Amino acid sequence: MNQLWLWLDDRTGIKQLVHETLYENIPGGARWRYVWGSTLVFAFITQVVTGIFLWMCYSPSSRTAWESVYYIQYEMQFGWLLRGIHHFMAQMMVLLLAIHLLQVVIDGAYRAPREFNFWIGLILMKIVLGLSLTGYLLPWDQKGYWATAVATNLMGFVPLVGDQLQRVVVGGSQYGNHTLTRFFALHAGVLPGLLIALLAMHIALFRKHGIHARPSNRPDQYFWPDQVLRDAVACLAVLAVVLLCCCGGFFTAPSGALPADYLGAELAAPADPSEQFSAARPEWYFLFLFQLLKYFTPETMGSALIGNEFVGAILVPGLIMGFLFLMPILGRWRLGHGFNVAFLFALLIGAGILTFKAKEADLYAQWYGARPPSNASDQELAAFEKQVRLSRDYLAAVEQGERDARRIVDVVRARGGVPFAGAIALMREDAEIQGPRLFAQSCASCHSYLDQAGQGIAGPAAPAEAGSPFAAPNLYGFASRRWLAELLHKDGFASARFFGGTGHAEGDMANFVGDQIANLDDEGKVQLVQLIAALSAEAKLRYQEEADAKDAADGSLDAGRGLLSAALSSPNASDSSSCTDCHKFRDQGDLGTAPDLTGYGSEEWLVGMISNPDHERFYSGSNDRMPAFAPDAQGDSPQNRLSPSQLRLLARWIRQDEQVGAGAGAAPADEAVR
Amino acid sequence: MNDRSVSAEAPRRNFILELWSCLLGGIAALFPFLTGVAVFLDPLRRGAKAGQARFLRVATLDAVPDDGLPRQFPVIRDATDAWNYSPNERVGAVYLRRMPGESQVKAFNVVCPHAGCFVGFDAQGRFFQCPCHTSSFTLDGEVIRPSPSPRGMDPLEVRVTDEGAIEVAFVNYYPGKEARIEKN
Repeated sequence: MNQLWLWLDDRTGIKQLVHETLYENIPGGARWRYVWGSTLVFAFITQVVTGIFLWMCYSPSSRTAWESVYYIQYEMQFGWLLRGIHHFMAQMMVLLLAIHLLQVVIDGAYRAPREFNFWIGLILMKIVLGLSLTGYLLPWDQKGYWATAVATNLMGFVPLVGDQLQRVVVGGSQYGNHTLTRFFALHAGVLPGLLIALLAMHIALFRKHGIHARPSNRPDQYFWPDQVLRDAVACLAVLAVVLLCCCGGFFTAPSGALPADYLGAELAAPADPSEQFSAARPEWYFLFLFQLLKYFTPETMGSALIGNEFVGAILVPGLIMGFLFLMPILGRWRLGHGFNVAFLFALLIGAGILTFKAKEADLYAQWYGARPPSNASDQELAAFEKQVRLSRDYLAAVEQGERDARRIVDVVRARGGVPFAGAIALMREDAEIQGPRLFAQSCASCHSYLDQAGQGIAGPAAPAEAGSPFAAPNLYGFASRRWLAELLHKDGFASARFFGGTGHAEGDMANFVGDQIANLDDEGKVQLVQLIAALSAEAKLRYQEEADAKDAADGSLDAGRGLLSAALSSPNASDSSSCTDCHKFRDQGDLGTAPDLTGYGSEEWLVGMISNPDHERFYSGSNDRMPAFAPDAQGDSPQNRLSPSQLRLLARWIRQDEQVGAGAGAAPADEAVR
Repeated sequence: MNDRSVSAEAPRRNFILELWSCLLGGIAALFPFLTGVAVFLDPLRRGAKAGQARFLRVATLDAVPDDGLPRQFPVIRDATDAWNYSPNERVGAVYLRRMPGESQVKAFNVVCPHAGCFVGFDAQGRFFQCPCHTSSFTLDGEVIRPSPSPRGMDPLEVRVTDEGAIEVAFVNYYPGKEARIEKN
């Protein structure tokens, strides 16, 4: 063994190298305060190692980036941990950088002969920030996509060459495959390469000048093992914090959910340039820059000579960086050094305040929403309301984003994988994701979609505005037994929850419900329950499958179907009428007077109704104000507001066809009848 | 470096201290690495997807003339490729061969049992010829010696349905071994 060691040393000089590395003299002995540089090196090495392993699983293109990261996160063993370590160690690195910089400046360790090494350190800092910026995009999720879109657009504000610069970095005028390949090459090749080269110089220079120690009468020590032990403990502590962040999901996962799905780093829904994402924010350590941009408006600048964005995004940060570079020169004077320290503290406090402001603005509704300022002027009140509104939008977008992200994972799992068209294709074909958006766009100006707890999409007829002229029925649980039972209740049909805001409030159906159904005797009420079950079964709602099958087996559905064309039992049965007097149901009754009850509430029925309510199968001439969303159902007439696939998605969502654990509308009807 | 400046009173290197340094430093350095290794070895725990149909329809009987010459057909089935799932993907190919007057069909996997190249059919010489290392096989799939191939071409189970569809139990075997060991 010794022979081999000597042989190797003879040819490589390794003995000397190891000796130099381990037996560096530390004036005044090992100290805990010397660990920060080592933790940074440790963090970087961790990033290289985890990054290379992630590289083996990652595919940079607009149809595979999210998909491959999904696979790492949710399918590969310990993929969530690997990704989590990489993600949180990156944040840790920024934190450690700040500590390292602060320590160097406070100690005045940038002074001669260490100026050059200080400058290298500042460049290293910029590279680390660049790594973090490029890495944020790589999962190609909504978060990364929109945050990076803003960051690269700011590049366009660089004078003279801004547009070209942006085009080169983005790989074209649009974000896409070449944005990813470029960012990936920067993130995994160019920047780490530069970092390694500069880090080697940084450490070599550090070794050349020795550690910057304060005069002390403690004896000197070697680097090994006293300082190494302290460094090792610090690195382990850093790792522990990172692992704790990775496992946060154990504590935050909602009950019933798999905590494993909440571990590691977040993966938002796949990037979609056509999908608003109001929750886009940069990483927390860039939030102060993000906030800074809010203050630079043409009004505050007072001059249109230089663009306000240029000042906020480039000039101010550039000047700050420039000043940091000048620190070693200023630091030659005692006063200068004091100024440097004060400047850095002011900078950190300023950034802290800006970060707080950014967070405050986002969480405004949570923090202050419940208590509007007392005795405030109208102007202050308006400003307050604007803040709350913006914050609510942000919080809603965050929630929506999380819902979408969960949903797409469920969809991919249920399908067994992603199609070649990418996860985005699944997003666009999913009723649970598209349905609420389509409803909000096309239906919510009249209809609402609110469950019993009042959650969902509020239309104009939300309780507070009952009686609004545009109130059409609440479609949550449409055609379910419960919905029908409430509709056919004497206080139901003409109420704001159903047809109260429409012309039908005083129509024949309202009279029928108010006079005849309201006066049913006990037998009639039992019949009504059967009738409702039979009518509701026409919809073939997924969440009522069980109840439908049960009632079909014991014959009560058949009985109910018969009752649709019979007068229900009441004290004055002589003048009562049946459903088929106005409606068509299967081979009874005629079209043209009221909506067809055959297949009522089924996907096909709903698509037809939304396409064209004026059709004789639906409201014919008695349609109040509902527009036809696709009058030309077969063709692609420009009058069609919704495409066939959009109609289908909307209908399927209203019916809760693809919802996991649906069934809020499945409450027994008899309860509601009484 | 400045070794000379280290005072002679520098504490004796404490063995326990060194042990702890190695241990803690080792844990910190190894943890991320081992996590990466665990992810890297993920393919080892993945077998074939259960529930794959054993017999796959590859052709109709009419498409294989009974002239005793092999004809090539793609094998199509639902395929999972890491994150992608695609129904009806081409996952391989087979040679089908029918003797005169017979309805019995023979099937061979096109993959060479030597090193996994795609074996060709030499129409002139009427034998299978691998383009890579010159393994050749008779029309019955037997090795023509001398040959680097350890075994003949891999025969596959075939059945012909009443409707005249040819179905093959498609299997890939590890090349380079004398015995046929299924890849899954």
